[in-house]
Amino acid sequence: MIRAYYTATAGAKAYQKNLDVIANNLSNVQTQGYKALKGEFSDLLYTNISRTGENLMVGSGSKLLKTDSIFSEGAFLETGKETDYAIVGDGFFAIQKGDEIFYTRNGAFSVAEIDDELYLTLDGGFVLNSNGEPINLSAESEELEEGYELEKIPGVTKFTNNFDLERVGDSLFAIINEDAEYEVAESPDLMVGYVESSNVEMVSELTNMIQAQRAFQFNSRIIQVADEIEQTINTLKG
Amino acid sequence: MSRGLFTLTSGMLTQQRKIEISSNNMANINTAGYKREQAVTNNFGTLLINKLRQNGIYETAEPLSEVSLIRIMEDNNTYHSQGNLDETGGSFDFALVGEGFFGINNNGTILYGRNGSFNLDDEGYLIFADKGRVQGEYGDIFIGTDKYEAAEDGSIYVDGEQIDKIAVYNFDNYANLDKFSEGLYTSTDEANLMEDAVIKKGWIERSNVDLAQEMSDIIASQRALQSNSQALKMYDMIMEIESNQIGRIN
Repeated sequence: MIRAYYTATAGAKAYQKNLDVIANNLSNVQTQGYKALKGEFSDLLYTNISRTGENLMVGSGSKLLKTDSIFSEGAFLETGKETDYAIVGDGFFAIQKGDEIFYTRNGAFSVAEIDDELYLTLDGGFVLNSNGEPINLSAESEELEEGYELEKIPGVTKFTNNFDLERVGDSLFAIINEDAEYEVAESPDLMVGYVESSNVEMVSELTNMIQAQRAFQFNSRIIQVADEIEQTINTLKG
Repeated sequence: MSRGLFTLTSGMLTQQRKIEISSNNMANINTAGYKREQAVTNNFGTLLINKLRQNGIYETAEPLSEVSLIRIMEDNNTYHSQGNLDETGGSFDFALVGEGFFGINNNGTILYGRNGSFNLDDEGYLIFADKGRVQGEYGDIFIGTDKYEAAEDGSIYVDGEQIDKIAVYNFDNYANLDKFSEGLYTSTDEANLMEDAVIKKGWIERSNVDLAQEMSDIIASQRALQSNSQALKMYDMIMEIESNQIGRIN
């Protein structure tokens, strides 16, 4: 089979995966706290196709090399709920599920009653405050200033490098780099009654989608051309 | 065997190689920093055909004409023109405007490329995929965070303090660049550090592939290949007559 066949197939597969990334972004355009993903390509191995020792290096197509998150801020939506929080600027909320701690920008919390105590939760996990403890809304706490009860406010964790986090679904991130540096902000900058919406930009995603579709189309045209050539060669004799 | 048979085969092989190069260009339309390639065909030279004439006891050769030797495409050129700039907003994306290459330190050898889609490794250094660390003017670039600024000359500022400057290299002669992989080149020439490089953070340079050109090249090559194969079939018919019909009695 001629190389162009495999090259074009590799290219078509890469654009198909790119379309998967774009589709995921578009389907999460309303998800609170969602951060858009973008894909990057690279070309593949170059081999020498000359038979006489001359240097004729030809590539073998392209592949989707990696996907990176974009940590820009989404727009703030006013909900008016007292248990909805939005972080202004950088940082994540800490959610404890079992023994593990996850991080998220989604501040649409709910109140759950466990053992006659009211806890602030997100999706079954406890929201942690600045001291790293689950927030107990019905507990007694000392008033610090102007009715500002620090222990009942969600803590904001700021990472030196946001890319030490990886996505695990449900708008949650987990730390993948053991040497990740992070610190809990002393006075978190929060807005109550607001939620951060997703940072997906519809226009960019639609443009990327059109690009991916056209690139996919051209590569499948090459597959057709390669097929026709094989047919030509096949009918040379008989 | 007729010389023409091999000439036609070499014609078909050449067109096939041209299509292979064009299809790699098409597959890499969106690859960051990809430079398109173009096939170079050349004649290998000609062979003189002589007519041998018996002149008594001597044989003389009378030059008739020239026939071109087998030619198969043996070279391809890389066109280093500027690709389209795409704003991605990526925290570690850089695009070079104008000439130059980024330097990646791969175990001691410096690889050169224009793909500026970088990441931070676990220790906080700027890297390119799994190939190595991006070189600045003082060696490996340690950033450690994704909240930093970069000026247009490649200087990197963390908390207002300049920590390093991305090094951009240029060559006098691009012909000695050898392809490594994933858009990177190696070179035996000395690289010169560029003084006036322009780097944009948050942008990526897409490929410089011209779609219309590639499609028409592919169509032309495919048709040329088909014409060659038709002529090849005629040779086949002639040889069949030669081997089976001539000298046949009945």
